[in-house]
Amino acid sequence: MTYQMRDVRLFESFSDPDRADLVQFMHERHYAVGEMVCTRGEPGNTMMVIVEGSLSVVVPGKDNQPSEIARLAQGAVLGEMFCIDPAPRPVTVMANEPATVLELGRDDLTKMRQEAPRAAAALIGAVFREVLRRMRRVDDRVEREQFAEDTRDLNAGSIRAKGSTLPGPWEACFARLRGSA
Amino acid sequence: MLVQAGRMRTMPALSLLCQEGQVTDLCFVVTAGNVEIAKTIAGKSRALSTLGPGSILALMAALDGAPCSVSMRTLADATVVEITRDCLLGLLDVNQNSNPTAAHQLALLGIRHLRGATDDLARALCHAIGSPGQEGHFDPLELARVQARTNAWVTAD
Repeated sequence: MTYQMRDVRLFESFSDPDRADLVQFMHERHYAVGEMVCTRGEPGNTMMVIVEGSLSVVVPGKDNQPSEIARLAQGAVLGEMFCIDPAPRPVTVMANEPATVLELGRDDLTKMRQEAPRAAAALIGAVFREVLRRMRRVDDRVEREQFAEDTRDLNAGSIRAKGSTLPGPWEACFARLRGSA
Repeated sequence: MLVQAGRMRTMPALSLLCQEGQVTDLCFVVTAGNVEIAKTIAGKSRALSTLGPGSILALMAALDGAPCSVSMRTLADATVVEITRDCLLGLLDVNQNSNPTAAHQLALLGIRHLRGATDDLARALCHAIGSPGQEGHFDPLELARVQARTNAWVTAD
């Protein structure tokens, strides 16, 4: 593999040798158009980096019809938390066009911690910072909603909505905050 | 590993570890006693939860430098380990510390709390949606509990 991944935001703080070490522990996967990369609800224990092509992130929308909430292009990372803490996948991801993905599983990370601890530390630290950033976004969102409730200000950005199911845009928001899209 | 990186402090009852709105560069690991998490809602301080040994408090505020969105105070005499932002950053910096154990512990805690907080937020939203034809409202206490979770990370859950 010759991937450098210098353009991947999650790895921007990595040194070149750490990035090269990381790639050595990743597995190249190829997907044809329409092929599922992962399915909502299935156990997830890997992170993926798109190195070629693009992927669609899909959740159940109105009347349970698939609804695309994001399209991820080359350089995008998905599921970075799952290789540290496995959990059911909250979204379905499928290829829109022929795509190549580098995948790192939990077992790969365990091996990396033993054989390339510096690169493993860089990856775990980067995931932690990403978690922190998303945690602050949750906190900020709550603060805004709290303020809206206090003032009864029905602003356009409020979560409030009518209906009995979680609105599609909020599925997308939660998927992003949880690090799945 | 985290506890080894900090300084042990004995706090008398009702000591304030961090006040809502305060910027802090310290986080705390509770080793003995209990800490109350509270937030001002509609002008009144409301207790949201009580956290005991094993809890990590104010980690997010200590690391990102934004004001803490809840207050934290000891309910009775307590012992905490105080960890500075510089120390935390050192644990996460591969040039200072290439052992990923502490970063892994922090990441695992963070991920679980992020997932929990977004689940809480989703539940609060579902309650807020209300029945068709009616306008829903958030329960301020439910929202505040999300913040209790984002601001105070509990190792025990």
